[in-house]
Amino acid sequence: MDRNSRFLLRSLRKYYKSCAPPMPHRFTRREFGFMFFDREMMQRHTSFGTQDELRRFLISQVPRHSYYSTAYYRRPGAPTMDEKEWLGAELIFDLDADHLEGAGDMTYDGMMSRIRGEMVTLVDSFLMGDLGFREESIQICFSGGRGYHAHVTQDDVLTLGTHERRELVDYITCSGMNIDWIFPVDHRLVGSAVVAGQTRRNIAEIRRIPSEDSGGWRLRMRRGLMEVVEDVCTMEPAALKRAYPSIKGSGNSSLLNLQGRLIPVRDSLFEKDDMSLLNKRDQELLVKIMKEDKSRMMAGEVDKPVTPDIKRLIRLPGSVHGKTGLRVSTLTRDELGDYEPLTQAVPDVYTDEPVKVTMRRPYALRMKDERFDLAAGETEVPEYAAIFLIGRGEADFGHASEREELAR
Amino acid sequence: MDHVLLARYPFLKASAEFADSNDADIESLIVSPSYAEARKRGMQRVLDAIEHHKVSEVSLTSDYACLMEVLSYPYARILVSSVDDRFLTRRYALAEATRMYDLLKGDPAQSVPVSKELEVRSSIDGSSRISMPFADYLRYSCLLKAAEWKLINTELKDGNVLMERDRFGRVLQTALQERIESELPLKVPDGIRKAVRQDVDRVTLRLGEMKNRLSPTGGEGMNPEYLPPCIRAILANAQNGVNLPHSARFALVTFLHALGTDYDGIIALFSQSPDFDEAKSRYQIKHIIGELSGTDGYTPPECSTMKTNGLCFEPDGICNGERMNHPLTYYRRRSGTARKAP
Ligand code: SF4
Repeated sequence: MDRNSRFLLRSLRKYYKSCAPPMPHRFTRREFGFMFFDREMMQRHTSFGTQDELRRFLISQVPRHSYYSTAYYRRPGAPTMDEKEWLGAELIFDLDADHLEGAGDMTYDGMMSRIRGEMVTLVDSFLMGDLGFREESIQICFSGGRGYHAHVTQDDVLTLGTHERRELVDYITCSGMNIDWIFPVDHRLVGSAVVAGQTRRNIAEIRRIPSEDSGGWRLRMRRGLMEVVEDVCTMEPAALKRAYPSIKGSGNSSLLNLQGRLIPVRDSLFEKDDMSLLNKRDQELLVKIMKEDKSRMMAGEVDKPVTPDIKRLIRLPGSVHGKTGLRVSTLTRDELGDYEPLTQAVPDVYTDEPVKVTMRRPYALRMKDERFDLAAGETEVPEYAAIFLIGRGEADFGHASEREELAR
Repeated sequence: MDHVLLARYPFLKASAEFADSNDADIESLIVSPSYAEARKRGMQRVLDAIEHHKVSEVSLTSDYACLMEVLSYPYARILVSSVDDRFLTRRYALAEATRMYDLLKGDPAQSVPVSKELEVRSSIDGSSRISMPFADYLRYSCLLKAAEWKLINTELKDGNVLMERDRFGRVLQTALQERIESELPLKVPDGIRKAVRQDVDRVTLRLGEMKNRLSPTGGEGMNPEYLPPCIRAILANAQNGVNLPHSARFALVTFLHALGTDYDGIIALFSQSPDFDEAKSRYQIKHIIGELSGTDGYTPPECSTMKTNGLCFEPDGICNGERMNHPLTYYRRRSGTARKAP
């Protein structure tokens, strides 16, 4: 074990001595898994009968990373899945910075507040909104690293299989939507004329707009359409095309014409709940924006492979993430709103005592209401910051020069 | 509850209670002359399933007719269980479920008690649509493959999926089908098995006929002369020890399997290849033909897929014929013409 690992191990042990870990719901049915500082292999198929057993394990072994199974098993300690016997699994939604475009250029803070925003949408609009989960059946978790999880333990979802859970992912991320179900086409007789002794019927195709008391993506798309109509009525063509790339092939004048036709009828659209006041081309243009741009903008984010995996190990709340020193923390929805991991997920046992570190590169950090603008090279930072920096590989423990002196 | 209803929906608990209250136990159902009608109708249910995909209607004009109808249901289940053939069980479950779906269309009020019985939680919302918890919905919608059943294409509100009654009928149909498939086969005691032997034999016979009719080889086993050019070429390659791409092996195995060739038959064809290694092929073949999962396995790819995969070798005149879109169609046509020829 190198000096960095030894320092981290000492810090984590101090944490595990200071508190008892909160136990997952029905923890005797769970498999636990661990990674360590001094071993490559992951230890799996572990189960614990009491909280004290787990606590003693954490203090003596000090795992670098601790996980538990989202699944409940009859025999969680058995070595194979067959013997374990799956009984059900929490429903998990995972949001991680990995999926953010340009995450590499963001600060940790910036990244985390973006993810937090996505998590808020996921919880409010989808989990507590459409899916109707009550707040007490959702456990929100800061992962200790670069993301958030939501664990749902409502009884009737525990036995959902992989297919069923994938449907939920598709729902949230808006995949597989049938736009003709959202805005169905009605064929309406708008007139008839007798031409050369034959009756010609004039049939118009009219898109319906979902009503205010519809549900699911129908309602979401109705509201989205209101915003799009607002934008089309008020924005310059160039800005409009930037906001909705699917129409970037349209000419500016035709967009201005559309604006002219839309402004006088915009309110009636949503009173009549259909697009009968618009010509066919205008209807289809709006539907195109809704389908190709707006629906994506309204979709939620989740890490797609995580939710359908019903045999997954996930970070153990109350444990410490070995690459940040931050506590895997459960939060209420209210707490999520302004959650600052670099303040609130820092364990209290980490002190302000100065620790000598050698920065590998310059790094800026705001932690526990302190700002650190660190240049590459030797410096001293409070213990809590040292744990974070060394864990993330931004710094090494101790001062390199002292070690060289010693060596001489 | 109205006896006609009990007869129409014989899987309800109340129906079984109705039978009990008439002192109809299994013993007498099997042997007593007074239940001959019920046995006949039970037989009919199973034969209808084999031949028409749907259990037919009978008129229920008297209490007696209702009782016979109710009793015919357990009798049919005994028959299906005694034959114990997965194809039959599934076909029977589907036939009972389809019948119920059709009945519910004309009698929507019954969807509430039926859904209770099937443990499908649901209620009627203000606008007379059906509302059900999405978790229950997913369990059944996942079995219905079409995009219109995807959760995203439903009105999901506060955790409940709202739908029209007709769609709910389809959900219940799937639920009943599932239920029957999971309940059957029942354990049939030897004594009963003996007593129903004659009827079971008749069912087995008709089932065999139906399977033959559905089978592209007419139950006569695969005849290599009728193989389409694509399969012929793949097979020749396999037998010459050419290493086949996965798509080719998949096409070959699924095709042979569809013609009723079993694992041993498939292996026998492969084993003519010089560097044949059974251990390696075993798992793959068993997986493709569904032996590992206890299912029917995969269906063979159609011509368009074969073309995309570059496996459509030297299509001939039959290939270019009308409505020729599947290698199995090719086989059927060739063998059909051959059979008709004197
Ligand atoms: S057309 Fe179809 S049957 Fe004929 S060779 Fe091609 S894939 Fe085979």
